[in-house]
Amino acid sequence: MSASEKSSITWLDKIFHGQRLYIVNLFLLFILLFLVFWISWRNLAIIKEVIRNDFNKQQLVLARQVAYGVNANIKDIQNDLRIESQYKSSFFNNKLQEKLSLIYKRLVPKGISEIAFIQQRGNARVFDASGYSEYNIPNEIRSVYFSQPLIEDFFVLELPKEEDITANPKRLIEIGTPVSISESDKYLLVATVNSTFLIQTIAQKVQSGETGYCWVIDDQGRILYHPKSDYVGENAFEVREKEMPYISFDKINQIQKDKMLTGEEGTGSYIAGWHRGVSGIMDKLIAYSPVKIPGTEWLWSVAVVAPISEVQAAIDKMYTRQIILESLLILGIFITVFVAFVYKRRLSQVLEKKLRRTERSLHQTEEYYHAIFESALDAIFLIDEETRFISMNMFTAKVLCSMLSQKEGQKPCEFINPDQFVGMTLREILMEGDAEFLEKKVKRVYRRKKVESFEHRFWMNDRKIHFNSKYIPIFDEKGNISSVLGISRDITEKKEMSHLIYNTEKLASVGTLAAGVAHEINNPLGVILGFTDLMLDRTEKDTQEYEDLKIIEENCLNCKRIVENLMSFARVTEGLEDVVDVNRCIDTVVQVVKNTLMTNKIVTEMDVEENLPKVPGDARELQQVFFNLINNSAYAMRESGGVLKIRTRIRENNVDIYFIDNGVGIPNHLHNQIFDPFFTTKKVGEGTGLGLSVSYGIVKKYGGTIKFTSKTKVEAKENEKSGTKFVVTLPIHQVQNNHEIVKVETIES
Amino acid sequence: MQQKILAVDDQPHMLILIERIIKERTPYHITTTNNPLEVPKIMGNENFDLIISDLKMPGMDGLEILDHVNKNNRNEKVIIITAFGELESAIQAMQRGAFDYITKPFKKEKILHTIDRAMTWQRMVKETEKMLGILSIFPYRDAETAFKKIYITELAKQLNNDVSQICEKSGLQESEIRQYLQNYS
Repeated sequence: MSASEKSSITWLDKIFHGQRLYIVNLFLLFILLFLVFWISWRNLAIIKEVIRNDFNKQQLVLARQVAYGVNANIKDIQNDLRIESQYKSSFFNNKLQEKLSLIYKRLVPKGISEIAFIQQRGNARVFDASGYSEYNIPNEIRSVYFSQPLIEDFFVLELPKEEDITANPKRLIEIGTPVSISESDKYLLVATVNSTFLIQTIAQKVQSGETGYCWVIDDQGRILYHPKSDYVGENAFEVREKEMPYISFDKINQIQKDKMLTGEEGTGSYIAGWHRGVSGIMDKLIAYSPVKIPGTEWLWSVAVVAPISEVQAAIDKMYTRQIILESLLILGIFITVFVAFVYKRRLSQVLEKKLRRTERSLHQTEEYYHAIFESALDAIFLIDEETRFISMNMFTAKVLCSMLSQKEGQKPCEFINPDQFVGMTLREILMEGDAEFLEKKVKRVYRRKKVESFEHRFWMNDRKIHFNSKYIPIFDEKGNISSVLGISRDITEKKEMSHLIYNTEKLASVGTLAAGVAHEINNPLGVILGFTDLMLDRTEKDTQEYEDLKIIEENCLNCKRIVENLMSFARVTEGLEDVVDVNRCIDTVVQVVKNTLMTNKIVTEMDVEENLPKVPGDARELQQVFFNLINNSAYAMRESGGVLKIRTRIRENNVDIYFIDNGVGIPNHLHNQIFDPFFTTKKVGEGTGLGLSVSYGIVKKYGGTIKFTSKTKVEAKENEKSGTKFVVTLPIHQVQNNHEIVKVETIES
Repeated sequence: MQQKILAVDDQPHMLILIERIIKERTPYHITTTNNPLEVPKIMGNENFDLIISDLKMPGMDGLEILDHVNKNNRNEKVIIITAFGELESAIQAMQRGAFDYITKPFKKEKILHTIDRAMTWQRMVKETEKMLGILSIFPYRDAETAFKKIYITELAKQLNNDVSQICEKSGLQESEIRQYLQNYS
């Protein structure tokens, strides 16, 4: 794996790892949502534009229609007038009134307010809403009429405002056409058109969208038509502001000025303050189209307006739908995410609980096995093919510690830590010979794939330690040996015990043998003695032969004594005496060990009290006790000899037997242990550690005690020597009638 | 008449020793046998005063010889020679009627002493038997009665009819004394 790959993985890992993943996800989600909203917002804006434009286009069509309609209307009026003007003669009969009324009625729908037949040198005959009338026109006006240039037989003129008859500022237009009857007089047929009406007929029907309407202004900026009737005639640039000064009508003014008054056609939007009776600021859409008044240079402009709300509704609906949809979508996503999250959380909680429970039980099991593993007093360990320790329990570590410190010649380690040996090989820890031996065993397991069971011994601090080991192969799934499980049990004690038993039995058999031998020896011994005695009888005293025979006799007696002592000691006697003469016991024992003591340069001082009363007990057993104590003293003095004092005394109802030596003494810290079975300071093979414990048992059995005081050289004070004093106290036997086993022979009478 | 000893031991040397001791130091006659099973036969042929026997012997041991003597109501006394340590067997032998026991190895003085005692005993027994034999002749009985009468009367006079004292002095039974006193005083 290259470094970059490694780093990229870790970088990604960092991002997508655990908790961070959520945050990153959330972050991305927000960005996404934001984008979506923004795009849809933009979209909607665009659509809004499109819709507005479409709407405006429709309005434009309407505006054009109105413009065309107005134009058409005027043209119609003109055409009508023209046609009428052709029937010259119809003007000069008494049916003029009728004709005018007919024309009026015909053209009212087109917006005229009156129709007049004007004579240059005469009156004007007018028919209007109030009927027929004739009146005189002022000359100035008459001259104006008749001096109008004609465009295609028509003239159109605007009545000056101040000439308006009525108060309402209407824009009145006169459309006239000459009716030529004779050369002498000129006649005009003039229709007065209320431009507002004219426009109204068409414009009134206009409805843009739901509520849109149209209004018309002329090229002077006067409002010709507006649904708001009080606007009619007002200045388009001022009227709005006048009414609603808080609104800025710049936009519409601009449109009016730049576009409409210039005769342009187009669409746009502006801010308005009124719409069909509803006051208030609002956006309006406007479409405008010019109206050219035929026969004039005049330019009116038709505006069709509708509040944005017309479109807005659609847009709003769209917006709303979009938002609702998106919201639903987002909500849906969130709910799903949330539910998933909650579910996941709960699931993970449940799993966690389960996991924890499993962990706990596993932990418990682990602890249980660990406790067993650790508290086992056998060495349990795992070792691999290269004899490296994989794992081990505490006992193994203890053993290895001792072995290692012995190998390196140091003191045994204070703190034992199994981990310190993990990974080390046998050769690194044990002495070469031991390591090699165990190495072979491990390799053997690997080779034969079978359990290896064997015994081996280590030297540890001058003690021989025996182990009984089993090396067990551990197989993996493929059937190969993955490691070796070693279990080693310290059987030193058992071995020592069996050794001890063997020794004891050997001794016992030796004892029995000795006893048997002694017994056998007695016979020839007796014979020798007997014959020697006979020879002595025949030999003269003070002869060489006599002396020689005497020597023979003495040695035979020696033998006899030795044999007697030996048999006495080796339990050949069948006597079941339950009282013992202590002094005699001591004597017997001393005889046995006399020579040993002498060779060890130990002087024996006997200080027995005469006529020591008997004590209850078994002679053999008490001899054993004394033998043990004497032996111990001798051992303590083996280095450089010494003095062993044996003293017997009576004290109240007891007999005290003292064994005092000046040997090395027993250290204080061992005082508690010396009577323990198997406790010994001797090397293995030199002693069993049973002497004192057995002695203690025997003495106790007969109601006595063993006590001791001891000082080692270290503990002794300046002028004192080291040494040990043992005191065996036995209660005195309460004398009863002596039962003598003697049969009294009677002489028969 | 010379007193006779029978010695039995499975060890020949021991027999020789005993024989030598007896011959050189005592006036007694000694017969020895190595085979204890022969003993009943030998005993069947002649009577002995003393049998000295080892305790533990193959075939027939000392105790069995002792039993043989008892069963057949023989007059022989038996001395058992025991090994040092066979105390219980020795006691057992004594209970069964052995005269004494000697532990070996022994000093010859000891065995001589014991033999002497045994022989003296036997002599005494024989003499007593002889005496009783004499005394069992018919006229003696009457003489005995007369003698006893005078003897007891005299004693009674001397001792003021104190029966217990008379008993002590005469060695006769108390009942007998009373009887005599009653009948003849």
